[in-house]
Amino acid sequence: MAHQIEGSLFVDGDLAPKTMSYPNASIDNSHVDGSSDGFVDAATLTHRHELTYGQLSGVDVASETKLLHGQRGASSLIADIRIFVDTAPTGGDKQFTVDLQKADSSNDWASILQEEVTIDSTRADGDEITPSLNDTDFAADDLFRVVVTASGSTGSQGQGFQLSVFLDEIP
Amino acid sequence: MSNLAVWQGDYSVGNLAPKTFTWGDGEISNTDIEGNAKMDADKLVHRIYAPYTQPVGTDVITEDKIIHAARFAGTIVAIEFMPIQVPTDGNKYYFLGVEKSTGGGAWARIATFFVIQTTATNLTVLTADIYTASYVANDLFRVDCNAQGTTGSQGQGLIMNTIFDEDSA
Repeated sequence: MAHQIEGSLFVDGDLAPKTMSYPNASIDNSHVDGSSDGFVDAATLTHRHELTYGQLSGVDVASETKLLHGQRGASSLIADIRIFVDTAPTGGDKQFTVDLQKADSSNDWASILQEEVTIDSTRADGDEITPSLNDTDFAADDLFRVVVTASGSTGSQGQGFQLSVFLDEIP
Repeated sequence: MSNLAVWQGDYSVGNLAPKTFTWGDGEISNTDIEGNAKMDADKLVHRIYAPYTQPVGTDVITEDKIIHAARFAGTIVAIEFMPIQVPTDGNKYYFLGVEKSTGGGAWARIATFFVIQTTATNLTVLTADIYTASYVANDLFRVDCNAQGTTGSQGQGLIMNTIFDEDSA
């Protein structure tokens, strides 16, 4: 039989219900034991990885393909992607493109962006670009790589940029 | 019946389903949390390690490199540095540190720089003094490394970690 208490209940001792239905969102950071005994296991958390790739400031961007990440967890999703341009190309047709690709166990690489990002002279120094994804959910053993392609023959090539991929990985 | 009930001592019941519940600070420990909880990443403050390295066996060179683009606001926890092989026998040295740009503004130091001369010790962790720990979304961070000197042997190999606690929203 269910009993109902109208109002508040103060227990001046230990409360040990057999089961308890906690109200949603009742736990805040301050309620979690901060001592080493209370540390929350990494396996209990969804981990946010920032996968980064960059080329040096003050040096012309060069073509390069580089592996970024091999997924260990059972699944993940990309929460956000950002590209920061340090110095944009100027005065001609020089440009570079940035693509983010994924391969599963078949090792067939495919872009996960709706379109690769082009950094040309229409961009400004310090531009931040947030490309759209055509695939956000990933599985264990997926591989990610970045493909940078520099092209053009006139003007000044861009110098320095940073790619950040924010990946939420479930253990 | 009063709307305030007080029990002195322990109390055991079946299922307890309060409308609200006041947790005591530090009451929840790892064992209280379901092992398969998979707490959302959006509910956590994330500790991010932004490493910067130069290869072992190669002279340290001058370069600037972006190491972190802040998605949300946060706090810099620490900047830790370890030289692998320090300079020897001359005046060669290098210095490096972390700089920040806010809103596309000029790069500015956020902490003391590390100066690695012949008097430094291999494989010893050094810690920077941080001027302003807090940062805002979209701040950019870079490492500014400068190799100097003409005589002796330059240092080879280094690792520096800048550690951020960053909000999820």
